[in-house]
This record gives sequence, structure tokens and C-alpha cells, in this order.
Amino acid sequence: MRRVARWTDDRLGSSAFAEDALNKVFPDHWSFMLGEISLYCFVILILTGTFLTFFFDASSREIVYRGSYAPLNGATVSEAYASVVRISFDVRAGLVMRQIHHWAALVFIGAIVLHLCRIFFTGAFRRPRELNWIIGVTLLLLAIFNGFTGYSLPDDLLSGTGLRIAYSIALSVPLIGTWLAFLIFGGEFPAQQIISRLFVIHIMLVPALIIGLLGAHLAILWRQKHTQFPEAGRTESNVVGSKLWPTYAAKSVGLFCAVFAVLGALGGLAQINPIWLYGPFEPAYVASPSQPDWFLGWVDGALRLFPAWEFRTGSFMLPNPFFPAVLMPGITFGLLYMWPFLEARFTHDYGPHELLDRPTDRPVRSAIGAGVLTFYIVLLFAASNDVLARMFQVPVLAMTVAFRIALFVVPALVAFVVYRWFKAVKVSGAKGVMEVSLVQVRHPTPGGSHE
Amino acid sequence: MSEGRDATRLIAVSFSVSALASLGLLITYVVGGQPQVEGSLIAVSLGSLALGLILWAHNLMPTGHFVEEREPHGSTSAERASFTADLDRSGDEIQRRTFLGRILIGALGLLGVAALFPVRSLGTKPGRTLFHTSWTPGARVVTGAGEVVTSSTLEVGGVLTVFPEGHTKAADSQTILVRVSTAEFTPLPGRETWSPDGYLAYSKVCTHAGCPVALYQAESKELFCPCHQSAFDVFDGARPIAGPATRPLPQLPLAIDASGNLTAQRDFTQPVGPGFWNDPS
Amino acid sequence: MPGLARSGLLALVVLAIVGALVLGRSAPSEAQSATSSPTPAPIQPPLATPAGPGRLIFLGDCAFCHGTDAAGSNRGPSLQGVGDADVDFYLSTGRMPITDVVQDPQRQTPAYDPHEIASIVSYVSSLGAGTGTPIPQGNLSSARLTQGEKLYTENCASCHSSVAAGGALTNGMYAPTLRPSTPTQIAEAIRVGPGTMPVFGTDTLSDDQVNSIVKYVLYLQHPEDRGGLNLSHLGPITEGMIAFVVGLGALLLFVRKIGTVVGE
Repeated sequence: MRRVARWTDDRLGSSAFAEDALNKVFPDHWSFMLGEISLYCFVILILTGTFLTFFFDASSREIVYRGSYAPLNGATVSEAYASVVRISFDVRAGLVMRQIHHWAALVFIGAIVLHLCRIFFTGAFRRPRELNWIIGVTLLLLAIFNGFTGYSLPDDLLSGTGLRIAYSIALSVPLIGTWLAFLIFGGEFPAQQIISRLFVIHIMLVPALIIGLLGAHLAILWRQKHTQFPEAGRTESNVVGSKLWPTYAAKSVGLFCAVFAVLGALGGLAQINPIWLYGPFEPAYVASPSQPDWFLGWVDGALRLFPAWEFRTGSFMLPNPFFPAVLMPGITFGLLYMWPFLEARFTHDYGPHELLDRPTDRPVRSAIGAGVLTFYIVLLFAASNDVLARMFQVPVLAMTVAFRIALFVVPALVAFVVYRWFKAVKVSGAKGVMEVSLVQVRHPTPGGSHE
Repeated sequence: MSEGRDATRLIAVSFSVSALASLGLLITYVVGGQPQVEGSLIAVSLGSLALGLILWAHNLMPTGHFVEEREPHGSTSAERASFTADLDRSGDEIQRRTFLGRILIGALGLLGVAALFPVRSLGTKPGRTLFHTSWTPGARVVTGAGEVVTSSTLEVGGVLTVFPEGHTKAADSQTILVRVSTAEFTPLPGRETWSPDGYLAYSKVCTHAGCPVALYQAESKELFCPCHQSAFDVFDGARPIAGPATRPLPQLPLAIDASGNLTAQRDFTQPVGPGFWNDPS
Repeated sequence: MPGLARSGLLALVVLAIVGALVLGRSAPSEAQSATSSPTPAPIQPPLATPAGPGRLIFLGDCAFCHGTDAAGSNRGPSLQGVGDADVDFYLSTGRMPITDVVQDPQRQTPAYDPHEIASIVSYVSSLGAGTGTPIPQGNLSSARLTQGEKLYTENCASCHSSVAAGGALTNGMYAPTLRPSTPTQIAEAIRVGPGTMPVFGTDTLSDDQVNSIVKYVLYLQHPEDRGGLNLSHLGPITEGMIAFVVGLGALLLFVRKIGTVVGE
């Protein structure tokens, strides 16, 4: 290793940088590793995805499937669909690669959301880290988008239905909707070009953007150094933790192996997206139930819950899907982007922060965050209203009405409870969330937890 | 130090297990592969690697409580002053020539706009495409397989997905055909001739978000869309009675020709499917 | 840190057990791929016995709602001329005699054995002629699985789901799962359209096409789950839950172990 370092230094003068890097200190708190989980999921997505690109055929042209899956043998399907069935049955290690890839996508976005929550509830987005927050929110958006394009590639009945809905959502945009839909898809639905376009977007354009933004995200983190919780020895002007080499690097590589192990287990043991059972996409047919992957469930839930309201004048129309599927997500991400600046404005706190908040230190922010998060979780569950209705043996309409009520009642309730609870913890000086009694929640008194 | 030796032994065992599992993966692949075996071996191989590395980091490597000082994020005021001075000095030539600057911006702006225009090649012009389907006056009604639908194809309570003859792949022309009892059904005013022999045809494209409205409940005469649970009343011009759909499914006026085949009188009288900005429905 | 090593080894052991179980579960289905499944039982004609217990059972159990002459009453519809397939379907799936008067009776254990059912069918048939459907008879050996997949997807999957697990309809009703259905019952239901299900007559779907659909539904009762545990075939819903609970759950436990908490 010393020889390699010497060789590199002779050419790049890297020793000084390398030494700084080796000694760089990273705080060890477990919640600081959530971003790493998503990073490693991304790496695995690229590895498995590259394998899949060698076998996937991004073409809507119709052919006759001939392969070892008997119920489709002789069926007329698109080349894209046939290639995915072949990957699943006839390519060695094909199915496990496909399944690891899809599980990795689900866990990737889940980890990003958890990471976002950690950043939010600890106030890590405050100055000087607003830029990294903006980059992070963009990464979330890109990840969701790539997840959607990814599972639409096999051209199966379930994902094709999702593409039809996406087309209709594009159509619903005022003034430019028809042009938007026709240009993105290539014409009237289902245009022949969409699969090959999704392929380019999925394997090249969005990953390139993600890699670039991830690089910036990590570079900024490297430059600004990580935040840390206020404890003994930690101040606004230092970082306390393990050194990058060898300890932090070893733990990080260990985490990568763990992520790969979990995804490998899921990829081999838990079946995901069995497209051979769904059948090829045909625009005139659909199966029920019909749900998107979880990271788009909140939009689908909104489409189901939003009432049958529409604005029509006789020559112009603001179609119904616009409100739950364009306006609502637009407001969601708009607020997400704006949050650091909104909070700075409301708290009149424009100064830099290197020390984090405990979530209980900021009852208002935590209550808002918890309430809003609950709102999207209710929407997510609402996307399975038909399945839940059948499970609980109630009419689907009743389940929809119940969710509409829950959508406003439950987040408000959660926000209220979190506010009162955290306020009590903060005021009473309790060490943890569980060390505060109901009496203290009702009437918070300073030092109350010591009684 | 015996603790260190214990840890070393455990780490060695973990790494060995990993190696064995990787060997297993090799063998599995060579003999033909099997998803569950592959996944489990990946998990064991990488899981034991992870275990070994973490044990190594925790037991044998220096942990925690190293301190590094932070530098202020911004540059020093001297650095900033120097940067501003440099920027001003070298940019003086550009800043003086406001006229040239403006023309440059104009040129770049137009170039940018021109560069956007290839986007137009991505798709066809919407035009009137969404306002009509492939149904024409006299078009024979056929199944997805191209078989002509006659007045005896469906029984009362039956349902089929149909298309205009020659256009069985036309997604916008997909139509749901049902047969109801003429004794129970009263056509809407103005549509008395649209449903010969109890055959009713509606566009299958949901007016909410475009999914095929495929679930037909023959007893309650409802068409139900699985995507967002809109329901349409077949006896009332496929008016939406539940869910987020706001407009009825357009009805296809049917006729029965001399040979007993089902035909369309003409295209739907409204655009099918979900709404758009200049939809006159 | 022995605790960490212990949990790590435990995790690996659990994984090995789960892997073995899943392997054990999926191995038989691997051997029993769709190409080599045993020839499904043919759709059987009923055992016709005119002089059997049918009349007495009918008068005792059915006439109260359907009338002594099967002409119907305000409690139940007329059965005259409905056809043998209709009567046989409802009796063999246990939907009739009705135990709980609901809009859409569900499958239960049949109240009568096949011999008694055949006799009742025969008796009802004698009470009134009509254009009702006879019990379908079919030979599945010539039925085509691929044609069945296509027809099932186009006509059945929208209510019964891609994997014959059933699905929600309006007004609290639902299309039932087809897992427990026999070939005869599947064919009967297609022809009869019980409850709110549409009717697919011989001019809508030929006998050949019905046989193919039956063959495919039988396949769906043991589908090719090459990917592992099928998570009830509920698709993205359960997949999302597992990703969070199992995937992220396991990883959260892991980082909790390798990271510190405040105060350490």
C-alpha cells in the first residue's frame, strides 16, 4: 500500500490531502448513517442495473415469446416484456439480480426519507447547510422519478396502467397539458417510443444527475464537516468522533456489506414484481388491485381520496387529476425546498449551527414535521383502500370516506400529541422522551422530571 | 489481550464463512443457478464480511473521541477583499461595455431558445387527436381478436371489450359492450336508437385518469374502475356515481345491420378519457 | 464486543433457517413447473340419479325460499329453467342453502355430498324446462395454457386479480378467490354468471376457450413463484411493507449496533 501511495503522490502530490483525509473525524451517532444506507443502495442499484442492461430490450415492437415460462409460450408480447421474462427464467442469476435491483430501489428511497427526517428533526438543514438540503430534496425527487421509470420498463400490465395514469396527469396540466403529454410520450397513448425513452432516462440521464448531485452532496459535507449532537466535549467549533482511517472506513465498508447482505437476502428469498403473473401490457385491459410502488403511493392515495371536483366552463377545463397529482406534489416539494428559509424567517434565527437539536428541544418544528409526515403516510395507506376494504369487509366507498376523515384528523392529532409531549420533555429537563409523566405533559414545570 | 485474541479469532471465522459462501455462489452459478440459493449465499457471504469488519473496527481499531477543530466556513475578510478586487480588475473590460454585453445576452438568449426547439421533434402535435377515436359511421364492432360481434354474441348480463373493425390495437377506441334486458332498461332521452336489442356500448377509458373501466357488475349494472374506484351507472348513461370521476363515459351509438352484425352509428359525441385543457365536455 | 458478535452470528443463523425454509417451500414448485404439471382432472358430468333424495331435500331445505315448485317467492328467485350448471354451482360451492341472508353469499363447505347434489340438480331440472346452461363438460388435455392466460387477463383478471386471489367491487361486494375452485365450478361460473358476475355464453366464449381459461386458473392455484416467498401476491403493497419492516428494519438495527447513542 505504501508503494501505491508513493506512486500516486509522485504524480499528483496527494500526500497532504490524503493525510487530512485519513485523519478526518466523523461523529459516530447511529442516525448519521442513514444517508450512507441510501448511498450504498445506490451503488448496488448501479451494479445490478448494469447487469440487467445487458439483457433488457428497450423496444415496444411485438414479438412471439418463446422461452421456458409455459403460460406465455407463443404469446404475442413486446420485446421489452419478453426480455424481462427471459431475464427472470432463462438468464443465469437473472432473477436474483432483477429482484435485488427492485428491492434496492424500494429501500433506497425509504432510506432517503428516513435520512431526510433525521436532518429535519435535528435541524441539520440550518445555515450553512441549506444548499445541501436543497441538493438532498432534489436527490429524493430524482430517486422517485427513476424508481417510476424503472418499474415501467418491463411493459407489464400493472406498470403500463401506471404509465397511462402518468399520461393523464400530464394531460391535466393547464394550457400546456396536451403538448406535455404528446411530447414526453411521443403522441397519443400508448406511443411506441415510450419504453425506449424511459430506458434512456432511467439508465443514463437521471443516474448521471444523481451521481453529480451526490458528488456535490458529499463534497459539501466533507468541506463543512458533519454536525453533531450537543454533549460533553462537543462545541460549535469542533467535531468529535472516529477517524476516517482505519475505523470509520472499516465501519462504512461493513455497512455497505450489510446493505448488500440484506438486499441479497430479500432479492433471493422474497419475490418482487412477478411480471410473468401480471401478463404483458395491453391498453384495453387492467387487473385489480392496481397500486404503484410505495414511493408513489402518496400520489395514488391522493388521486383516490380527492373528491370528484373539476372546473369546466364549456370551452376550457381544469381536470380533476391536476389537484391531487400536480398541485399537491408541487406544493409538497415547494415547501420542502423552502423549509430552511421559512424556519429561519419564523424563528428569526439566521445564524450558523454546527450543533444539532434534540427533536424534543424544538416542539413546534417536531410537531409540524410529525403531523406532515403523518399526512403523507395516511395518503400512502389510502392507495390500498380497495384491498383494505376487502380485508376488513367494508364497502370500498366507506373506506374512502374513512380515509378522507383520517387524512385531516390523524395528522392534527399526532401534531398535537408530539407538541405537548416534547414541550413537557423540554421544559421539565427530562433526559429522554420516556422519562416524562402524563402529569408533566399536562402542566410542564421546569425540573419537573426530578420529582 | 485475550479479548483481542478472541476478537481476532471471531473475525477470522467470519471472513472464512464469507469465503465459503462465495465459493458456494461460484458452484451454484456453475451448476445452473437458483434464485433462493443465490440470494441466501450473497447474504451470508456479505453478512459475515460485514460482521468481521465491524468486529475489527470495534475491538481492534482506535475508536471514538478524536477531536478535530472546525474552520470558519466563510473565507477571511482579507481573502474576500482580494477576491473582489481581482474580480473587479479583470472584469473591468467586460463591465465597461454594457452595449456589447446586452447584445451578447440577446444572442445567447436566442440561441438558447433555438436550442430548445428540437424538443418539438419528440412528439406529434396534439391538434384534434384527442377529440376523436377510430370509430366511424357504419364501422363493424369486433372483439380484440377481430371477430365480428353479432346480435347473438352476448347474453343478457354479458360483457365484452370491443373495437372498430381494423383497429383492434387502437387504445382510444376501446369500448365496453354489455347486454341488458330491454324490459328493465329505459334509454336516456335522445339515445333511444343507440342500444338495439339491449346492447349498450360505452368508452372503456375512464374519464378520471384513463385506466380501462373493466369491472362490470351485472346485477347492479355498474362499471367500476380499479385504479381509483370510480363507479359508473350503466343504466344512466354511465354517469359517475362514486369515486373521483367527474364526467360520464361517452356512449357509442350502436346499430344492427341487415346481417345481424353490430355496427357503430358514428364516433363518440365527446372526447373519450381523462380531461384536458380545451376539452369541451 | 461479544454482544455484537453474538447478534451477528444469530442473524446469520436466522437467515440460514429462513433460506432453508424458503428453499424447501419453493423446491417442489420448481420441480412442478407449468410445463410438467399433471394433467388436470377433466370437467365431470354429474352423477345423474333420477330417483334419489333430491326431491325430499329440496322440499325440506329449499322450498321455503324458492317455492315448492321452484317458481320462487318473495324470499328467493325462481329456479325453473335456470339450468343444471346454476344449481350445481351454488350447491357444490356451499353458497346454497343460504345460512346468512346476505346480498352475495360466499363459498362455504357444501351442505350435501356430490351424490345428493346431483339428485337435487336432477329434481330441480324436472320442475321446469328453460334455456338454462347444462353442466359444462370438457376435456382439458387439449386446452391451451397460453390462450387461457390471454383470455383470463382480458375477461377475468379485472375482478379476480392477476393471480385469482379475488378483489373488491362496489357496495361491499367482492369477486371471490378462485383458489379452492374445481374445474367444473370454474366453468359453471363462467357460463352462469352467479351473483353479480357477468354471463359468458357459448357465443361469447367457446367451450374451447372456457377450457383454456379453466386450465389457466388451475395453474394460478399453484403459480410459478420462482422469486421466493410470494407475500400473498398482493404486489407493491406488501413489497413496500417488507422493504420498510424487514429491509430498513434490519439495517436500522445494524446501524444502531455499530453507531453510538448520545451519551456514549
